[in-house]
Amino acid sequence: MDNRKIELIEHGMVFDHLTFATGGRVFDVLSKYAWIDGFYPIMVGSFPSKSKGRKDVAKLDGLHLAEGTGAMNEIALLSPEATVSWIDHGQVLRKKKAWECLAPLVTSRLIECPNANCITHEEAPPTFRVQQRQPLSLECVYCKRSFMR
Amino acid sequence: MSWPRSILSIADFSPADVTHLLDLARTVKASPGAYQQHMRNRYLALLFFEPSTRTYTSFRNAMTRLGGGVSMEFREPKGTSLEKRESVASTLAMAKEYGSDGIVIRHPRDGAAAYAAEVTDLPVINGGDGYNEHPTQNLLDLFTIHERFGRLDHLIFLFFNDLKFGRATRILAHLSLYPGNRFFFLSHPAVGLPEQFKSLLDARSCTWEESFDPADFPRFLAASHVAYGSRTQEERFPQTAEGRETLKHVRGSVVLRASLLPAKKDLVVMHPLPMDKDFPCIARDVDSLPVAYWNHQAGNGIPVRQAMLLLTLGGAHGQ
Ligand SMILES: [Zn+2]
Repeated sequence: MDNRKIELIEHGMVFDHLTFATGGRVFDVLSKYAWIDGFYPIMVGSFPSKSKGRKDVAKLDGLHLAEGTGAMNEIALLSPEATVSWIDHGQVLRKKKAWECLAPLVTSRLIECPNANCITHEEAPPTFRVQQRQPLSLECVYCKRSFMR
Repeated sequence: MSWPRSILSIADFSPADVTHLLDLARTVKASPGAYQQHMRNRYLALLFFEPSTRTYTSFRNAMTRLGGGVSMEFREPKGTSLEKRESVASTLAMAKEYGSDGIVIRHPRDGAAAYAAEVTDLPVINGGDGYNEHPTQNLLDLFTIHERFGRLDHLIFLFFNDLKFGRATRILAHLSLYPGNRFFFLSHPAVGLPEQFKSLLDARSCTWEESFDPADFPRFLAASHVAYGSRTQEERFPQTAEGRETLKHVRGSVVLRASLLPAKKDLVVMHPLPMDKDFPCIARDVDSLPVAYWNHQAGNGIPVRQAMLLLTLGGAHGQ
């Protein structure tokens, strides 16, 4: 079923196996960057998954995002185990796990430092160093607290 | 790494960095008169977003004794609301405009000093950030230990009372770098040494022993060179019925008394101060004994901070 949906895209990206219920937030991320870059449309749906019960799928029509850039980083933070495919002429160009597409240092307000006393909750932009990719483990660059995603 | 640079965390220091700093601190302490002009026409900003009388006073003293000035200073009273607090970034911008050559920042939030170092190009000295780091305390402790024993290796340390929330235990990140150091930990189980420190000690193949039984005090003391007590950080306990109940059991559960001390032994008892007035982890009967080292330790805060300023603000001894 999913394969058929992927084929519907001529040029763009598919974010498959998104953690259930993160699809909406991935959609928000794509919309935010789409608005900046002026591309669209974006479609999102929720499907049954063999391994995890349910999964979300999002698609980006007409544009390829590069690894380690803004939207890619935020999607990887939201759903590190998602599968990212780049599609061109209806064919899958390449496929990666979202955690492979994450920059070594990411600044994002999508996730919070779990240390309630951290300066990021008052002033500093939440910034995290990737300590380990699978399973994803991050370290706050300010208070040095490590945590799993 | 080389001097001058910011002082953010004790974990950033190599033994060579510390040796360099302690050598200079020793020289300054021996002949303070020789350094009266080294900071002439240089200005330090003292930005205390939470009060700390000892840290504030010793930095102010250190700077003025080097002939330097203070460009900007404030000490926020306890209980200042988060809403009213000026932002770190805008305060640093102002400190720069006031002609500061360096910053000392104390802030109740963890990571505030690292953030400050990111938003300013001035050298930043961390005067304590929340429950995170207090490197200038760690460095003056290292100075005091070295001054007493002539080395930082092959020593035995006993850390006692609050090992969970006290920042003085951060010194382990440095002491564990030297060969032959051994560590004892004695506390109430609710405030035991955090796992991160235990893994660090294991990773560096250090020998350590943990106990929650005050009956182990005499044995640990008899073996140790340094007994280091930390005040119970009552403000860190949850404000719940359960939290208050735990605090009741923790406070006063580990107390070093004169009767526990070995008869004759090379031992110093240290404490970062202030002591808990109502539940001190070192009993009053230790105050007058030669092992009582905490006031001397606090006094070392001035020459050690003088050395930090000389190195950090790029004075004559910066490299
Ligand atoms: Zn943090």
